[in-house]
Amino acid sequence: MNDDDLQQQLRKIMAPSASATTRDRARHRALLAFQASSSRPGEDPVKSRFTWNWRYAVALSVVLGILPFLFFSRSHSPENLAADRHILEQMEKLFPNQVDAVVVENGKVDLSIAQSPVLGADQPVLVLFKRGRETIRVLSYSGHHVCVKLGQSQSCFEILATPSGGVILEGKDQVWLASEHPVVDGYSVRAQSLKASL
Amino acid sequence: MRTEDADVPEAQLVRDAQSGDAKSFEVLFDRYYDMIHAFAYRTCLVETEADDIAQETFIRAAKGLVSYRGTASFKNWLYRIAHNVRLDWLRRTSRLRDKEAGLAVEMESQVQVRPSDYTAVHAALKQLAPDLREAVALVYLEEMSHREAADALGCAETTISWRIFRAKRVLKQLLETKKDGPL
Repeated sequence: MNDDDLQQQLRKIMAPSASATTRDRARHRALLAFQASSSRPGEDPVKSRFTWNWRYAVALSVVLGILPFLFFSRSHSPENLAADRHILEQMEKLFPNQVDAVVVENGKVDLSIAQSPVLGADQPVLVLFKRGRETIRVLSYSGHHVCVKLGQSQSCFEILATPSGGVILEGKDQVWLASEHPVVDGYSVRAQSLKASL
Repeated sequence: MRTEDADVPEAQLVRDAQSGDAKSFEVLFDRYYDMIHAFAYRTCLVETEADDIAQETFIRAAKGLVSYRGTASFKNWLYRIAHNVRLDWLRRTSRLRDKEAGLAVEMESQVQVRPSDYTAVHAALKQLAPDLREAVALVYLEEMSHREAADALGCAETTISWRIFRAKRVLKQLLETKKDGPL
């Protein structure tokens, strides 16, 4: 059974709707609680949106210049985890809680940014694919779904950092443990948590 | 919900409700009650308990609305309240859990008389630990990303990833066993 089969099976669990009586009772009690509580105005969302748009525009205007500089101004040996972490930190400053992945492939840098900020990215991970002289570095976070072109094929996997500091790559039909140095589509794979390493 | 209510932006409704407008709170209730009720059911798999959890979630939301600052989406804020209500409910009913487990096994054995994919999935979910079931409900059934689920439950993203990984292994094993085994 693969993940798609499992998802299809799980979606068969239909949650029954609450009865009209149950719903009305819940609404009535919630309204009573609402009326009993005091209220005060919240933050002005228009102001927040303006602030965010301004920051976003500035970040966009400088990121294309900064990103190659960050990569190529440093000696970038495969073991240079401090540099990788620094790159992710810089990207996080520019796009707080929006960085999906930074992929470096033979000098070409791709930055994947989520459309809106979300919380919870707390475990940075480096995944390294090597075949001959070709190297692909993926800087991302645990729980993210990343797709990388390996040779002629596109490989997608979910990165999972384990509480013990290991990394699991979960593909559509297969799971690779980074500690076992797996080979995927002819590429040797190494991965490690950047948080645990520093 | 009236059609004109459906067009009012969520941020506006929240702001009005925070200012004391009961009508806006009622619209928010109508907009999200079914979602929270479904989530509650998928985490406990018992309809009457889902009714109670959903009701308590909105009572707490009504009381705590003034403290909502918009750092998470309103929907995720409600999910987090529902998660906390469910935890409280688990604590309150801990002494009854053994009896319920016995009853569940009994019901499951009755259900297996007429097996189907639905009952197999339902039984497999029932065997998951509550925290794993909750992660599955958010990620697979509510179609949240791991980040969103972590935000909704107030835990680390790696915690959600790990729970999903474990849940998938258990579910696949249980469902494949049921498929291959005698019905």
